[in-house]
Formats: sequence, C-alpha cells, structure tokens
Amino acid sequence: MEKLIICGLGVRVPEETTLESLQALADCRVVYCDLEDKKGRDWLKGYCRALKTPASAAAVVADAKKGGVGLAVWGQPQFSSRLARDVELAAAKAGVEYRVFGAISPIGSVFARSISFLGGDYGYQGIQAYSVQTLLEDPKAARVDLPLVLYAEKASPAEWAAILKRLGASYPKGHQGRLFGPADAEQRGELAGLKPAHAAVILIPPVESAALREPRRR
Amino acid sequence: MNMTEGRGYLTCLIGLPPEGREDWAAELKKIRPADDAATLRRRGRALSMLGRGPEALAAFDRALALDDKSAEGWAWRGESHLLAGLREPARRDLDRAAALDPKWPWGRLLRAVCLLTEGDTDGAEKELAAAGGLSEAALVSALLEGQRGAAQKGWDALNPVLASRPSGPLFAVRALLRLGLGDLPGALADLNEAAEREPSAWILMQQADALNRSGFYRPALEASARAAALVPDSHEPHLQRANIYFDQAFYPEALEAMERAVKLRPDDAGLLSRRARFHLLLGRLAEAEDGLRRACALAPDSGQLRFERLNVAALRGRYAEVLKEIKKGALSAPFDSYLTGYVLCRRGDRAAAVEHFLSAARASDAGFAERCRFYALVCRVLSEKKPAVKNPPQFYLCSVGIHHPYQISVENLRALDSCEVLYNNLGDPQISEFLGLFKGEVRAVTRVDNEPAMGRVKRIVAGIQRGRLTGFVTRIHPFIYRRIANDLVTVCDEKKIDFQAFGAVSLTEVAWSLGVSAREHGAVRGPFGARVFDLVYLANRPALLEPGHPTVIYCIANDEHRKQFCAVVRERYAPDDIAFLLAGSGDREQEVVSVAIKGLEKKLLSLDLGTVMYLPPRQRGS
Repeated sequence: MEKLIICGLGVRVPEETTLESLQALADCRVVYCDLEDKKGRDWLKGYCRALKTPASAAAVVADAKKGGVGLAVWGQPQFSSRLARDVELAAAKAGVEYRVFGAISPIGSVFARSISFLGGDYGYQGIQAYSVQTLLEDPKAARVDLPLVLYAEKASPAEWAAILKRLGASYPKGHQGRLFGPADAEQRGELAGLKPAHAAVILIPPVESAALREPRRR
Repeated sequence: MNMTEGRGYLTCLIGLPPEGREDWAAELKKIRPADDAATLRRRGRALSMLGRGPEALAAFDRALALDDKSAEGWAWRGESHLLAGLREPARRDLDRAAALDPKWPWGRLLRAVCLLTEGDTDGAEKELAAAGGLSEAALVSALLEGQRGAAQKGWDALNPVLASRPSGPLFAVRALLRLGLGDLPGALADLNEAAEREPSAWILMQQADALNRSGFYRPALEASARAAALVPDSHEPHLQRANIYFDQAFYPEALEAMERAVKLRPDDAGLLSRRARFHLLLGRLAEAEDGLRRACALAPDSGQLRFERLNVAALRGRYAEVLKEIKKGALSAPFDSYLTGYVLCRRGDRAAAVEHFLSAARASDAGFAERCRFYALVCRVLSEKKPAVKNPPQFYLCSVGIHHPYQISVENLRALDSCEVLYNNLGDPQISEFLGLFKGEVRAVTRVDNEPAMGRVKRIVAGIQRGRLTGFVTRIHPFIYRRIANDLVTVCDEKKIDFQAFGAVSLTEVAWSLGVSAREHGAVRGPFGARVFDLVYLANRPALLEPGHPTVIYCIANDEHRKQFCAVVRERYAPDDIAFLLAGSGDREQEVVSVAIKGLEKKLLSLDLGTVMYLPPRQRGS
C-alpha cells in the first residue's frame, strides 16, 4: 500500500473527477488539496476525512512518511501540476512509496468539448499540449504546424494576455482559438481577443497544412 | 509407451480432449469383447483418450474390481479422472498407483501432472525426478518451469530436446513458454509450426488462442473450427469459438457457438452460467434466467449460481421478490448485502444502497470488496443533488476510462444515470453488471459479419428516439482512436441529433508510463506538457520528433512502419535512452515495459497494435 497517492481531479471539478481518484482520496487520512476553485474544494471536502492546503512539496512528503496522505490537484498531475511533480520527485528521493492515478488531462477534456478527434483517417495525427507557464518560459516549445492545447489553472489575466499575444504573433492574422473555461460555454475568436479566466483550456488549430488534418467538427 | 500415449499427459495438464484420436479409435475397434482386467484397462484407456469419460471410468471400475493390485489400472483411472477435471479422485488413484509400483515411471509422470494442475510445482518436480529418463517428461518439466514463472529455464531445458526430436507438442509447449516470456509473435510462429506438423485438437486450439490474441480473429476461428472437427464430441472448441466471437462483439454468433457447446454438455452448470452472460449482454433476460434456473437445479449448493439467478431477476425489475428471497437467506454474505444494494440502487434509493454495498465490502476482500466500495461511491455521488441541465441533448457519448468502470468521471456517471437507453460497446461482463445499476435499458452494440463499420452506428442512431435520452458507452476516450465515436458524431450531425460528449482518461495521458518514467528518470524534467503522435505520421515526418519534449506515440502500425519509426528514433536518441511501452490493447491487462532505444525495434515488433509509447525528454526543460 502506497503511503502517498497523487490524484488529478480533471480540468472541471467535480465533473471530470474520476471515481477511482475520489475513492483513493476518500481512503486517505489527510488530503492536501491544491485547487483554486472553492466550489470544487468544498465538494471534495465532503468525501475526505481531512482536507488541508499544502504548504510545500516537502511538507506533503514529510507527512506522507506516516502514510495515508493524498494530494489532489487540478487537471492531470504529470501534465499540469508543478506541485505534483515536486511532490513526486521528493517522494522518490525520500523513498516514500507513491502512486499517481490516471486523470483526465487538458487534451482529454478539450477533445470532448470541442468534438475533435485524434487518430484514424478522421482526426488529428499529432497534437501538442503545454501549460501557459511552460510557454512563457520557453516560447519556442510550441510549433504552429501542430494543433496546440494551451492550459492553466492559476494563470493571471496578465499571463494569459501575454502568452496569447505572443502566440497570436506566431500564427497568421485572424487565426482563431477555442476557449473552454470552467463553465460549459465556448468562446471562439482571434487569440489576442480571448479572455480566459484563471483556469482555462484553449485549443488552437494548426496553421493550414496539407499534411495536417483540421478537426472535422465545429 | 509410445509418443501418442505421452501426449495424453499433456492433455491432462490442460484438461482438453486427447490427441491421437484416430489411433485410439482404431485401438478401440481392435479390442475384443472380454471381461478380464487387462482388456478392460485397455478399453478404458482408449475410451478415456477418446473423451468418453463416463464409459472409461465404468471400464476402469470393473477392471479394478477384478484386479486392484494393478498400478496401471489405478493410474489410468486417475488419468481419466484428471481429464474429467476431477482432481481429488485423480490424486487418490495416482497415489495408490505410486504406492503399488513406485518405480513405474508413467505412474510418477502422471502424478507430476496431477500435482502441477494443483499448482504444486515442488511436488511435481519430485515426481518428475522419479519418472526417470522418460523423454515425455521434458514437456511436463518445461511447463512446470513456465508455471513457476521461470519460463526462461523451461525454455533452456526444452530447446535441446526440441532440436534433437522436433515434434508438434514440443513446439506447442515452447509456444506456451514464449507466451510466458511475453513473446506472442514467437509463440504464434511455434504454434503454426506445431499445427503444421501435428494438427491435433489441442494444438489447433492453442493456435487459435494465439491468433486471436494477435488480432487475427478470423484465422483463429478457422483453427478452432478445425479443432472442433477433430473432436466432435468435445464442447471445448465450441466454447473457444464462442469466446472469440464474443471478444469481437459478434454476439449472435457467439451465442450460436455456445449453444453447440451446451448441446454437448447439457448438464454443465458452468457452461449454462456462461451462456446466461451472453444472454444478458444481448438483453435476453428471460432466457438468461431460464438457463440459470437449470444451472441452479444442477448445482443446488452453488451460492454463486443462486446469486446470478437473483441478479437477473433484479435486472428484470422483480425487486420485491429478490429482496424477499434474500431475507429468507437465499444468499450468504457478502452477496446478500451486495444484491440488496444493487436492487436499491436500481430502484433509485441510492442513499440506502450505500450502506449495503459498504457492508458487502466489509465482508469480502480483494476485487469484490473493491467493486462493492466503488458501487457505494457511485450511489453516494448519484445521491448528490444534480446540477440542472437546461437543454439536455438527445444523445450522450460516454466513457468509463481505461481502468473501467472505476475510472468513470462524475459527469459520465450522471449522464448514464439520466439515460433511458444505454448502448454498451463493451463485452466485459463487469461493465454489463455496472450498467445494471442504472434504470436504463441496456442494449449490446453487436457487430454483423461483413457489415461496414458505419452499419452498427446507423443501427444505434436508428434507436435514438426523441424524448428518450440515449447513451453510448465505450472505454478509454471516445475521441481518441475510436472510429465508432467519429461515425456516431457524423451520423448525429446528418440527422440533426443533439449530442454531448465527455472527457475520459485515455492512453494519451499514459498515466502509468509517466509514473514509471518519473520514478526512473526523476532528474530529467521536460516542459509541462507533451506531444502526441500517430506512429505512421511521425515516421513520415521525422522532423516533428524532438527529443527535448515528452512524446507519446500511438503505435497502430504494421511492422514496416514500426521499423521505419524505430530508425527515426535511433537517429535522435542515444542507444541507452529509455522508452516506455504501454502494451495490452482491448480489455486485456495492460503493462508498462521499459526498453533501451537500442532494443526498441525488437520489443515494439513483439507488441500488439494497441501499444502506446512514451519517450521521456532527453534534456532538462523548463
């Protein structure tokens, strides 16, 4: 039995939270919840014995040495949570047994909401997904010839604006993105004109290319 | 003893009809009618090898009544018991044979086989040592090592024997060892060789199994049909065909093959129970219940069968009757609490169901306890006040994740709960049972031979009625390598049917691969995110593969494309860099294997089409 479990709650909590993760967290002595959204936090609290806010990765791992500790984060831990990554690495270093549970990633979320496909002769053949922070630090990480899923849980309006402005300059004028916030409604428009809340996922189609398929849907 | 007799031991081990059927048929004809013990033993052996178990046992009983000092008599009767799957009496007979003539090697070899079927590998090893230099012992010895998980050791021991005395059964045993070593293509090649040399029923069935596991279900069905022709009295090949058809979602054909198996063994409660599962999936609840009633009559002490029968009654909506029977003590713990919870959940009394499922979980362990706790959580989540849906669609595309149904998300769960009709695209009985928690009518998504993929989609869409919310249930992510979902969306668009889809855990997340990679490459931190590609696409556009980025690759490709892709990887990664492979498609158990780039091609070629690769980043990223 692992002393520490790391669970992603999906991009929209609780809608995208898996019951497998919820069960694992419910079994924990204490759950450290690194979630901005108060509604999601309150919902999770109803299932957990004790819910705390993590002070640091080191503090989570120190408590995990006693066992029965869960870490709950937005999205998919290894795709989208720096804290989860730090906790995972610190746990490995400290020899604390841990397990990362499967979770719905920003790619999985945005594909369903935008009705986009991967694979076959009907979907994209390649895709890239990066956090806002990653692209702010390394603007060259993303390519315009692959569809891009851009995501963040805690990016400020200024950070979103900066990255969208920067990306907008890389794409042809008028290139549109599709923004999916915590609510169901979709926002569509030129990149620089999109106004994400803190947590959002944006799908940016690739620059027109014969080799890459456009998504077929909406 | 000749080789034909030796093969009999192998069939004991796997509980299948024997090989050398024609030889034994000729032998039976040759035996003159007589009542002496030796003739009766010969007759019993021939009958036993021909799969006529009850007649064989009757002959042995008479032989032993005349001569109870014959080690052969006890041993052959023990073998006959083994073939019938009766291990306890088999063991007693074989112990008696060994006591009467401890130096008779065939008696010891049979005893080894018996112990091996019980999982006693140490005991079997001792018996094999006592069996002396019988060459047939190599088969049993190799299988013993395979059963111990030391397939490599068995392989090493078997190969010299195979080189000096190649035979169909030896190739077949090596194939089983190859399977133990994770080499499915090699196993298939050995089984093809074995079937070429000696196409016995057992070898053909093993070949069919390997072909099916390799994704070649039509040749698998052909091999299984050849096996059935060789042993027309045996239900086993028909059962195998039923299972292959079932795996491929050809449910009516599966049921037809199952009916043939049942016809040959009409009093097999286990078979009737299995047939009931087929009926259940096809929504033929009355037939499922009839079959289970008969199974219960055949095995009145079986609590499992009683549970299955009452479960079907619950699915037919006879809640009061089921609860009454449970109260009367029809089921023992934990099944009493479990089925009570199940009935309450179906009836819509979710809050009350929670405690019953938890009670069942406390009284059970392992997988069943996990399922009970999961169902309790399902009920708890469903008993929460649901957010109002302003304009509900007509059709939901739902998924239950990879580790299904446990990885279902809250919104998928709520959608299933609101549907009146659920199309189940999964053959897994556990999913059928899970979907039984909801009030919706469950319909199987059946494939029809030679029908284009769009055919079943059109049948599903034709079943969508206005004002009757319908759901489609699949596994993994509906929009990632799922043609059926794409076709459903296309037809819904054409027919102007409102639909909604939900995210799900997919192989793209490659949770396991990423987890393993983090453990083994914790110091290497790539940028937050990943690139995901189709292997063929990437093989044709190598510039897109940048080793600084964590990369996920779907390996649905033939050997040629896989080789081409591996050449691209070798150009960009160091020979000792590690790739992770998530293997095991469909409903099979998935596993992560790590492999150095220098060995990637060989490994990738041995894995199935559903393999997904994770290439960790090479350089430190942001």
